[in-house]
Amino acid sequence: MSMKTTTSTTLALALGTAVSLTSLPATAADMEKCYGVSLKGQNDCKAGPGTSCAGTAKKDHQGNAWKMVPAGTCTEMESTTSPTGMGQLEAFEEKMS
Amino acid sequence: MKSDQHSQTGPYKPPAGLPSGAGIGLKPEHFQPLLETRPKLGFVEVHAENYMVAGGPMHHYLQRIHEHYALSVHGVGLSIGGSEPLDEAHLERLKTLIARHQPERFSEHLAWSSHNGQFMNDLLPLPYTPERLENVCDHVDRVQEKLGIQMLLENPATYLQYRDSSYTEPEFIAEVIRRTGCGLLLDVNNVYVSAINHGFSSHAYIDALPCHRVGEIHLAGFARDSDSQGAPLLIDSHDAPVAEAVWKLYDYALEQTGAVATLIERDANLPPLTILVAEAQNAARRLQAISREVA
Amino acid sequence: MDIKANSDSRFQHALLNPELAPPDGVSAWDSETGSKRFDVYRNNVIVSLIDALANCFDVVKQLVGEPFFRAMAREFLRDPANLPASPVLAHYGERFPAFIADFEPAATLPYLSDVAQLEWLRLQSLHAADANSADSKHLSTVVKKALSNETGCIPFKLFFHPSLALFKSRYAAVSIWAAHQGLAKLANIDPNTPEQALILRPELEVETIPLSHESADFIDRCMAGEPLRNPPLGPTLELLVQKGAITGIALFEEE
Repeated sequence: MSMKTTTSTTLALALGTAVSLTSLPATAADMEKCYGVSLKGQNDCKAGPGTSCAGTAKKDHQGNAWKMVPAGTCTEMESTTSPTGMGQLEAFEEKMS
Repeated sequence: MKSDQHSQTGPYKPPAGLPSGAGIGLKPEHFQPLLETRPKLGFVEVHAENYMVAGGPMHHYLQRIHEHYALSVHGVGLSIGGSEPLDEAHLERLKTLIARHQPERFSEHLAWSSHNGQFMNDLLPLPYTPERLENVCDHVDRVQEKLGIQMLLENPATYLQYRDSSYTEPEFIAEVIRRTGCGLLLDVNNVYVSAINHGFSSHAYIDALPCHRVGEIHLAGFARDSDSQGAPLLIDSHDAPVAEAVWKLYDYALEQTGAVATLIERDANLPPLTILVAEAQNAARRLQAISREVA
Repeated sequence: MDIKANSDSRFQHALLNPELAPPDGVSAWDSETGSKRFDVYRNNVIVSLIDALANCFDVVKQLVGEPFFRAMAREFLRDPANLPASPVLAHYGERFPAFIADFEPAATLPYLSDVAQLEWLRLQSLHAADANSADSKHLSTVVKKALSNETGCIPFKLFFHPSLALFKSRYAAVSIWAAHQGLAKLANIDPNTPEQALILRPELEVETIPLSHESADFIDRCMAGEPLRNPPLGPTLELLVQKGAITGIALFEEE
């Protein structure tokens, strides 16, 4: 029963002071800002720029002929491991301040 | 003066109608600058499909902007020119959108884009045959019936023609307008692009249209290419300022239509708002000149 | 056979199969065979849809680089089942994360599909219906009533904002995404750390809030409509209230 009382009190207090940010991890506060969704209309009535781009190429990239490898920001991650097994959110919290 | 006076002959009335000034295509990149600077514009136009979402910033900003500017809703996905019946679910989405924002105009394309349940995201050409004329008239009737307002139909830019077409494009469009009572959205850039691509006279094309039924004009930029015979092939790319030759053709069109709400369309290589507003002012000056001439 | 439908069907078939000649019946005035002119349409379809995917999956694009992304998107579009079924492209791309998961050339990046899923959820959250969040005082009153009942806690149920989604990954997909918003350095991330996040758009901006495994499980159960008794996670509940994620509460009153 005492367990239950504690839970009730904690919850009631939490809801009663719901404007407080103190219980949130710092990273959440930093990440909640507006980032990353590009507000773009996807539907257009324009035509593409030419006649010799992706739409017209034939089977040059198919099956075993695919020779491309990812070559973007992913290469920046390769050498890193997390020996401590700590969460990643802590890791980038340090770098943000 | 309201441009809609020209086209009120069919069973469906147009919505409130756009002022016969110059407007621009509204892009999310310009939501904030438009609200902050409030340039003088006759109206703004949006692509219907970009606002067929439940909520969020698209509707929020459109509503705020519509408080200051007349609004034209321009559909790009109804596939009116197709042989299949219209997608009723899509028509319902359109009805919801029109009811929510109460635009002063609604227009769509003489083209198709969906078939067999697949949407191809391009405005595809159709054969101008008696059978297809019936399809298109049925579709326009259905749209006007569903929305309860008159729509404008836009002439397309095309790169190919169908050998079994028995109508010319202006004949086909004139017949759709006559039978359905819809109005015409005259895309002057499309006329120019198609005239070069198919070797016809752009003036003769405009002359053959029912210009008294034009409720709106579109202007845009094109890209130059050539076909495999080396003949010029213009692409309706909407990624550049309006070409000088298109401005000249616009002046010619205005002599036939009188002053009609005119849109500067830009869908790619989007410049700052001020550049688009300056292009719209160019159109506005020509509209004022033609109004004075008429008066 | 319906000749009218066949014209569009033939056009469409040739449009989506670049190895085919242009369909019978189309022509150009200058006796050009029509092939290059037809390619304008082919190009428009594929390029515009690749562009639509690139807009939605921007972090995926950055991770693999633009050439790889566009080639991958083109492979995706080879399957006609992956063309849009609706003209509303704001909801296009749902199948792309699953495609990436099975796309062998991207197998070296096992987290890529999850990053795509996160981006997809964020875009859907952006366009989700608007709703008013429940008043925190009202919620507090009702919860207090539920918890202080003499015969034990009255089970209750929460209703969530339409823009809310829960994201769970076996990888550090949240951190990887955040690194592309300037919130972290990729070099510090171990991709193999499981992460969870709450995605929510209470007003106009989509928020991505990292969650502990326990919080995510709790929200998962709430979202499934499971009646809550003695909610063990006060801080998680507080987070939900504070973020405006809750639109209503219902008590399962006894008869």
